[in-house]
Amino acid sequence: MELEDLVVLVMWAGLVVSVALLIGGVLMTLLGPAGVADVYSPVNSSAHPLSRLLHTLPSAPSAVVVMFMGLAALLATPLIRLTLAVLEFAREGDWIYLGLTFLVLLILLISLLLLSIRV
Amino acid sequence: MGDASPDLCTKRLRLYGRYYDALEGREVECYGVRWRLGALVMFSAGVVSGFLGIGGSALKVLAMDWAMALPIKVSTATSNFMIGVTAATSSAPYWTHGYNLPFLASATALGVLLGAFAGSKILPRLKSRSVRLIFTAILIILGLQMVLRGVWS
Repeated sequence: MELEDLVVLVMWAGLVVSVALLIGGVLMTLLGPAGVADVYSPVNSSAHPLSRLLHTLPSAPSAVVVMFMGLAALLATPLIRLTLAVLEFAREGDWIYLGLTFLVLLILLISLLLLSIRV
Repeated sequence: MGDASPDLCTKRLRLYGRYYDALEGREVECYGVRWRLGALVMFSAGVVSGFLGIGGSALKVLAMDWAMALPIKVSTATSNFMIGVTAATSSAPYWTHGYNLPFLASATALGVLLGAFAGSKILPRLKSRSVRLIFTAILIILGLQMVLRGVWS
């Protein structure tokens, strides 16, 4: 399989997984007890750090966790896509675009890893 | 800024491309110029969308259409392609600080995904002039919304 086909596959997979989780989470919220769907709901992302979502899901698959998993899948898709782009440009020996893409990936990683730590 | 002939960065960065315009029934060749100006507008797009959560895409379209003299269809499609990466970068701190409400974010994301899918099907069938008119109208609405959000929030 060409790397370009893999990129398309990853983007479709990311889309399907996130949409499935988001629809599931939204339905679970609407069918479940009222409160989370409220605009003034105190439930927010600070209690569900990205790093702990995967650990929380099997033990407590609540509507909130499923929705956050869907949003996390949306965030992860461009990350994987960029990593594949770096590999593609490295394989082609295209140093200018390898440098540019790597820089973008680095900024995204800094944002996700360093800024995710509570300051 | 009108048409411009290929400059040094067009050649160095190989900013040449082509796309099939279904409406005109032919391949359209294009190239980008003035990457420094484009990068500057893009930087502003990042800062503005990071601050206000809106307007990033519109400014990115401006950077490509106005500064880099790329066709409007190429600009809107590329802006859409990039938004995942730029939005992911600015959303991580929002997530940590708890600005992300699960139901609102999920419902909005589903709506946006549906709209983006529909938009990507409609775009090839629109005239460039129509795309530009729609974009201008959205820019005016967004501008007003950003001023209101910046002043009153």
